[in-house]
Amino acid sequence: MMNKTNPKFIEAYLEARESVKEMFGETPENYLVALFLDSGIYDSVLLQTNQAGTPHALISTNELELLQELKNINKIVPNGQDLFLASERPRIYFPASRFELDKEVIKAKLVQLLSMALLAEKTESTFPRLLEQIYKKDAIIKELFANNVFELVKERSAPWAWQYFQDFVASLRLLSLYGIDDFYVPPASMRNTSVFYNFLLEIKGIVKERTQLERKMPLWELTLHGFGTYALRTYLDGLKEEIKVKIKPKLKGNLGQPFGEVGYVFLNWLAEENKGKSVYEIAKGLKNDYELVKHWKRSDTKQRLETYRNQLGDEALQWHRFRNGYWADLWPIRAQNYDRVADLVGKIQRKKINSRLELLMDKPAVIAHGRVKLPDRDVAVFSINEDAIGQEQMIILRNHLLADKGGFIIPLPGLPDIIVFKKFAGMHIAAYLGVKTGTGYPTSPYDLPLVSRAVQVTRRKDAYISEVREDEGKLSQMADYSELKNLTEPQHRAIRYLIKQGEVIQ
Amino acid sequence: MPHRIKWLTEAHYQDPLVNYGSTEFVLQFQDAAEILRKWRNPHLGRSSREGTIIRLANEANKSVELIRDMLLTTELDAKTEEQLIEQLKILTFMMNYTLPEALELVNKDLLLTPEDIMKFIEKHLALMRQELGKGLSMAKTMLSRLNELTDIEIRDQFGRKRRVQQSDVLDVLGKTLGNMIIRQSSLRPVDNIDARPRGKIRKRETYKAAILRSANIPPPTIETEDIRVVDKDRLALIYFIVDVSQSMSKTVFSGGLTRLDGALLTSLGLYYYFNLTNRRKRREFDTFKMHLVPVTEVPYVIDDNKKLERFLFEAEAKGKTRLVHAVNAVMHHVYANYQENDYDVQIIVLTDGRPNVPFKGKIPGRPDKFLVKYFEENASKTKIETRECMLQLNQLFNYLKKSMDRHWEISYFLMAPEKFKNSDLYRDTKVMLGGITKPILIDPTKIDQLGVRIIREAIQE
Repeated sequence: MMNKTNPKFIEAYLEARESVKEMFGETPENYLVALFLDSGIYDSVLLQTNQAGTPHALISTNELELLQELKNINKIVPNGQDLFLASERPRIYFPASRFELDKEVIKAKLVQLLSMALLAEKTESTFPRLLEQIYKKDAIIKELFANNVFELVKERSAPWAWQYFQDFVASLRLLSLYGIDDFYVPPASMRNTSVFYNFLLEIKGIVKERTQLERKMPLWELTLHGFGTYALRTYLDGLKEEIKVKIKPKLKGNLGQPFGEVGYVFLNWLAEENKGKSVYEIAKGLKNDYELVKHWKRSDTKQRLETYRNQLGDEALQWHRFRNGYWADLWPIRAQNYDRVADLVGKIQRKKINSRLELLMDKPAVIAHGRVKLPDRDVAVFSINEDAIGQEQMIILRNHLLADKGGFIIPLPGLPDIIVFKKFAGMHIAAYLGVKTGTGYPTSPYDLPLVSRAVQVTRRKDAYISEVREDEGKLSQMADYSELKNLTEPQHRAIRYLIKQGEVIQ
Repeated sequence: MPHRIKWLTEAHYQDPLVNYGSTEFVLQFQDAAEILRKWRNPHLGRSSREGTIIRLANEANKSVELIRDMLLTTELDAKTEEQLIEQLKILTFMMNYTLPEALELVNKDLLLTPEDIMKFIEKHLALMRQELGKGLSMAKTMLSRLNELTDIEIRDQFGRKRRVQQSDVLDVLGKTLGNMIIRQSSLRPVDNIDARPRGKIRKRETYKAAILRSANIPPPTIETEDIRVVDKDRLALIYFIVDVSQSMSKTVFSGGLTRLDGALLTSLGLYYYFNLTNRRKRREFDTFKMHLVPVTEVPYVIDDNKKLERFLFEAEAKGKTRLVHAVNAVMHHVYANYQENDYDVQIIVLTDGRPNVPFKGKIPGRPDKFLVKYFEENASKTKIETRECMLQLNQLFNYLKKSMDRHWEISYFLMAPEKFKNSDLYRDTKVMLGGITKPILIDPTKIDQLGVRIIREAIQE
């Protein structure tokens, strides 16, 4: 196995360590470089980590199918990115396909990654420690999942269980992250019923611990990536001009990345103002990104970022283009990403945000809007702007309400019928999901007679034409909408329409 | 080798994007029936159509995100880069204009058939041409995904969802139902010229022929000349007689299915079966020419395949059951249009077995004395007018069977649950069809059992 490692890579790696030592006086020691023999797996790990935070986190089948399709069929994977996990024991992931690059390029990439690893090891921020714990929690969930569910599938021949647990974990993680976990209050007696329920409860506990850790996490990405960019740029400046010219176009994934570049601006700025302190020392002392950006006024910051933006534009024009390529189209995309991060900095400065929780809650992706009370049931209204929860996952949530002792015994109490709002670029969709009652014996949580409709939320009134029932929809007339909150007028109309429609179909 | 570097293979690190839950999804006959039911009722398939659009939007959204990342981080050649940028523009256009409009049309039930979708795609391609200019090959492929709207979602026994295409389902359904017709159609001996016998071999008839030839039981050998195969190669006229009378609207099956639904499902299945066979024959002409005669006040013949399919999707139950009239109409249609060709005729009757309007005109042939006697001597709950119709039907069928000008075959499908077999009506129908054909009982909700039955009977043969 070992002899497969390219000697070129080993050389580059050892030289990169030397360079890091020269630049900062020390090297990281407690880290892991994971080489993927199959770069297909690297692609998967990259997509998964970007989606869920750590490589072991379970993602819902909704996301899974989406990513699978994009990777295998559409072949859209940004695999030029270097995957780095800034946990207490930093993890660098590297696909074997990178061995084809020149030694100098590999070295430059490793200099950046090892510097980031160094910062993660030595920093005063709690970020790496918390990430390490989250990583471990995810690994535990995955192990529990793999072992228990495998047995369940084998013994009881219930192939739906894979999907169920994935969806369960992913949905629960997302909802509890946004503080909506009062739906999952399991009765204590459930634990004795079977291993299955015991496992569910166990997982629920671990997921909750995980979210608590995630809510504690400081914002630290700007500092981390800024430092990485600083290290790489310093290293490049020390190179001879001809080598620099050769390798710079190959470092497309490392240079000019918005987080790194914006962080780099502020680190340099801090170094200018604190004469005598090195950038490394400054970066080590920063506990979160607010400490990085808090020293300046908004107007100064804006101006500084604008200047750097122009500089970056010139550089991108010069280095990251192809002779016949569409560079003119590429720079705006890069600039847009840069602006987004610049806006984020503005938000951090204005609102003094220093933890991930504050950022999430500033504009939450998941909001509960209250319930519509119908004579025979409740309909809960949510906005969910996340990929994790789709219709399938909604079924899981919906199921938890149906503690139907005669049929499939549902372990936990859950949601009533649901209306979910979701936004895509030009679409704003309201989807209704309900379950018909009084039906037979379901063989799995997915095997339920569903009522579902979806409609585009719009200001146009003719969009909501509904079929009128013979009794003129008495149920919907008796509905009580008074508990709803934080909704716009078109959203209100969409809710009324969907409730009427749900009745028509039932 | 420095100690901090580790190799990871699939043994150490499983692909995180593996789909644990995916086991082979077998399309069962029951699934096929469920899908046909959905096509009959636009409300049932609706949420899955909306789901399709939401899924497309979701995918477009994530694609945009990944393409942007890819353009900024991954080394690409100029051509790929150009393609990705084109894709980015198209995706944005789709998310802003195409998909919202599609969702609205789906909500109003205006985007149901492949033709609707085709028109919609054309319109949006034109819009894109205005907006984005040339080079829309990518756009065409992406918009063609909207055709998935005609796919139907089905669930396996555990409730997990799969999407299937119309054609997949109809192949399954048609094949199984078609087997029943084949069992009733004519046989021919294999020519010596045939290098190998083609077509479905009928074992029982083959065995019989061998006994006759060798005059031994059991026959010592079976020669090529003994082999009997189903004669499918001749051009044949198919006539579906579909009972759309009021009595067919009665709900008899679980799941709110009416008898009419059953009849239409079965004829759809058969229709697709014959269509499939036509396609597979690769002849210049279609082997099976299909017609449909609805049992209405004035029976008429639909001989255009498109109209026929549409009728099966949209028919409603009303009026009395003029079954004899319909059979008479078939006879006249054949004599009027195919006088000069001796094509075989296969009449497929789909009914609940309750004809109630006797035919006033002249019926060729003579009434069967045995049947008249049977009705006189046996008390039965069957209504008088139904009995009279049965006599007339028997007379007409017998005449057709005995006529020398061409080969007439009759299949008689009864839409009813299994317990119908105990009723007087079923007994009477069986007697009425004696020597002509056997009635086939179809229960669409138990249609999977039908498949089992077919297999069992095929093994016994």
